[in-house]
Amino acid sequence: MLTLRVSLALVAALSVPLPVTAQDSDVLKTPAEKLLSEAKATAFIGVDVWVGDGKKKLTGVTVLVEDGKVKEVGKDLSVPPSYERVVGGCLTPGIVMLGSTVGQSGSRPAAARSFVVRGRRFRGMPSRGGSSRATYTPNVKVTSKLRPMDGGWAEFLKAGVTTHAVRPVKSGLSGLGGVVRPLGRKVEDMVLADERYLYIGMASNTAHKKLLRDNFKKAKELIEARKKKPAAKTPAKPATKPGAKPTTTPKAATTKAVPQPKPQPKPGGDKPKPVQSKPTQATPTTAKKPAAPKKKPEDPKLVVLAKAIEKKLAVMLSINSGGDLLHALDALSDTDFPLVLMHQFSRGATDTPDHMVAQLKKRKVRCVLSADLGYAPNTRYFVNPIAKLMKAGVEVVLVPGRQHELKTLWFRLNELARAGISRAKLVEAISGAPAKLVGVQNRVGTIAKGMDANLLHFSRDPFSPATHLVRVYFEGRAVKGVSTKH
Amino acid sequence: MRYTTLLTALCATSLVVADLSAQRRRGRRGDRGGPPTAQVPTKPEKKKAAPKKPKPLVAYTNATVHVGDTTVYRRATVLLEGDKISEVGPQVEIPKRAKTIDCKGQHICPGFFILKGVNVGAPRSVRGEEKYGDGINPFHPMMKRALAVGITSYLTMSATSGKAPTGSSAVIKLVPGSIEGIVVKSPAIHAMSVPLGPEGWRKLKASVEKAKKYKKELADYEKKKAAGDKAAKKPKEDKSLAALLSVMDGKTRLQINSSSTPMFRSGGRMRFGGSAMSMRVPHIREALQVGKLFGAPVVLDNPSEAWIVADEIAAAKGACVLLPRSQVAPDPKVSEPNGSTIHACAILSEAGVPVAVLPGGGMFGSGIGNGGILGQDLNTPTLDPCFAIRGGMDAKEALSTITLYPAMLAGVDDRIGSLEVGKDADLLILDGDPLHYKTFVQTAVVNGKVVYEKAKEPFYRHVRPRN
Repeated sequence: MLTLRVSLALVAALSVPLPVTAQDSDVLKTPAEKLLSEAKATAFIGVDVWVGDGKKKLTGVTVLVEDGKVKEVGKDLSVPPSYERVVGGCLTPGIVMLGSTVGQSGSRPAAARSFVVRGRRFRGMPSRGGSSRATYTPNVKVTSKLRPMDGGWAEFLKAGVTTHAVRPVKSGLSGLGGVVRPLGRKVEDMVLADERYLYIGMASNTAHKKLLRDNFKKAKELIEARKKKPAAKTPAKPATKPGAKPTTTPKAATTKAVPQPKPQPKPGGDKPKPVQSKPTQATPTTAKKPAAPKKKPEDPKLVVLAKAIEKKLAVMLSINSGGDLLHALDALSDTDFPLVLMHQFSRGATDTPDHMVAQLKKRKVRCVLSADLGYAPNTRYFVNPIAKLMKAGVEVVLVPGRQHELKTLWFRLNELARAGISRAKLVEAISGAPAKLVGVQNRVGTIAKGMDANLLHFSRDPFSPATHLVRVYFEGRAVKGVSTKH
Repeated sequence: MRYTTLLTALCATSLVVADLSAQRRRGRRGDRGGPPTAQVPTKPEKKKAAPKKPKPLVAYTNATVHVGDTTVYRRATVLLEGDKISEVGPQVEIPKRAKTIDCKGQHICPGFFILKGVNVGAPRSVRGEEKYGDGINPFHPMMKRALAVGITSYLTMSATSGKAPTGSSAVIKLVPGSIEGIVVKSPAIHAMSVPLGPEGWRKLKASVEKAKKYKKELADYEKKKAAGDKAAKKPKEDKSLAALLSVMDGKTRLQINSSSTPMFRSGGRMRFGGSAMSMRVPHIREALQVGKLFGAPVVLDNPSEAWIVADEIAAAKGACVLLPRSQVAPDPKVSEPNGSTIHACAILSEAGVPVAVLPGGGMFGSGIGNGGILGQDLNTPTLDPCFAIRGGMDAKEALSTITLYPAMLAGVDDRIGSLEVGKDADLLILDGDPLHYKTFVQTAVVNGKVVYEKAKEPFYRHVRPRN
């Protein structure tokens, strides 16, 4: 008893001063945190605003920002005297970067990476095509691998990326993607939404095709087995839909983009409600089923795949070449779930998905593509695969071609605008559309009342090469240092 | 009694003689089947039961048709049914439902088959469970470029210099934008190197003995199984012998190259082609010995001195992959003939050895690809047959060195290499003789589908058609 008291006293004594030092110490601040200035109520007066919803820009409006949120957007708003005033310029929403690999080990920006092929040293992104190693960890959340102290968060924040839809680095069925904000000392503070999509990193080889074919087949068998079981024993439970649960982010009825998987994970297990919901839990800890003593627990990996087959979890297919897509569609020919296709092609690629419009439409594929131009096959003539896909009615979301190309993103968008895509659509494609795709559109992605004040403040029209990025605002806080002065 | 014996002997001899002549025609020269006038195209087998949806019929008429086996028909028709050739010849009855394309003044020949293609969409090598078909990039930028010069299929293979048959290989068709129907055969060729040395020979002989033993055990097991013996045990398969067994059973061909002192070799990718890796007479003789040991004919890779021992190669039913443009200077200190000669193709083909040609390799190994100086080899696959003609080869036969003969060498002549009934519908429509330097491919057809049209692709559409 005495020892318990002593130890309790010790714990109390130690725990009181610690948070104080931690908060004050600059050492414990994340690199992104160090960049951010204090939150101030700010009024952007007489600015042009690309809302990020694909509609025309608002001209000469006032945007009020308070407590990290957009308080009001409109003309002739009265600005309280306590507000800091920023006059003129143009605002766009912060970039929502799909397929980000920032903060994971082994995911330094590609420009800085060098690799060796047959004795020769190269710089840049090694091709994944040759590797036949296919990872099989579909139930691993990528957020569990993030490092809040990574310098990448700060670098990308400076360039205007205020939300990351993170994906696993490895190829194969390598995990569940989530959405994070680049700020937080713990991963829990960063996560906006988790388990948003199943990630498939495709490579053209037998190992990857076999992995997809075999495991989705097994998952189908699991679903069949489930259908047989509950009819006899647990008739009431399957009625609950795990996909219908709201996430921790505020959500409106408009959420139709992605079938929502399940609420944000509660590692501590404070709320036991998911236990009841269904055995389709990705985490093994929640896989306890009360009324099945003899039954073997379901393979958590297959549970995730089964969710994808049942269209309760979005599937993102990442490819490195057009061939990868054909091989993936061939391997997934027994399934019919919709796909989100990610192809971060390099400039001048000739195997962009616009050559496969028929296949894309058949499979209801939405595309996440580099904001870039391609070449007409066998020529050096630039063509615009994105415009072609948009015209064909395929939904397109844009990302920087490779991560190190982020600094030239606006220049690329300028080229796409010149090639005939509406500018409102382009802004939407880097902010509102990706946010919608991963189901966080009620918090980030657009400039509207109640949304996070993630703003990019440009001196003029952001598409013009004469414009520069004046400042990035993350949740109402100005980011020190600007990195994209064109 | 005497008369009976004599009669029997006479019969036997005549049979053997008849058989020999048949062998000579088929095995060494391709199935040429006599002069063009004498040849009557065989009627195609009629479809067994009419399928629900009849395959589309396309007739290319009025063309000069180079069958690929040295036969040439004037004003002839090639009738395609789906992805196969249905009829070929000057007197083809064109069905009513067939789509007819008049090719007046144009030539039709089989698509070129290049015995070694590099970097044209297929992986160079695969390992373990991997398959070539799963690694194809059907959007490879070089595919259309290869089609533009008439290459419709190629062999891709891993570079090997082992002391026993190894390596992966596949015969691949060029079908841009598709991953279906592209792999003709895989593996097609296994490769090894000579000289072996005493230790190499000992090991090889031991492996062959092992393989023979395994084959015998397997045959016994099959027999016992067929007889209903349930206790029969299947002999254990030795994976290291798989390639050897496949060669011995004739499933794959054995290609032998010379591994004499390559100056550098890194991961099998870079190697010396051309003169540095050419086979000298001792290498060739050793390779033929290896073939004898396996009981399988061999394909000699770049035997620059094959012309000296052409008869020996012919007797062993060997075949050659030659580089007519590559030169090996004769050694003046040696009194016997040595070195390479431009007449090699002609001499070998006279002796009855099938010859496939490839551009000289240089630093990156022989093969057609986009390497070397501006990828020129990919643009000029007909240059090497032309060099063979310059060296005295029959002009009609020279076309076979990039069509039928390489297909025979890779064991895929039942599907590609010539315009014969029942073979795959892979053909070229050209505005002149296939080997003429002013000729351009107008249309390339692979698996019955048009995959290249000069007028629609950027490479040569600016070149005016010949008149």
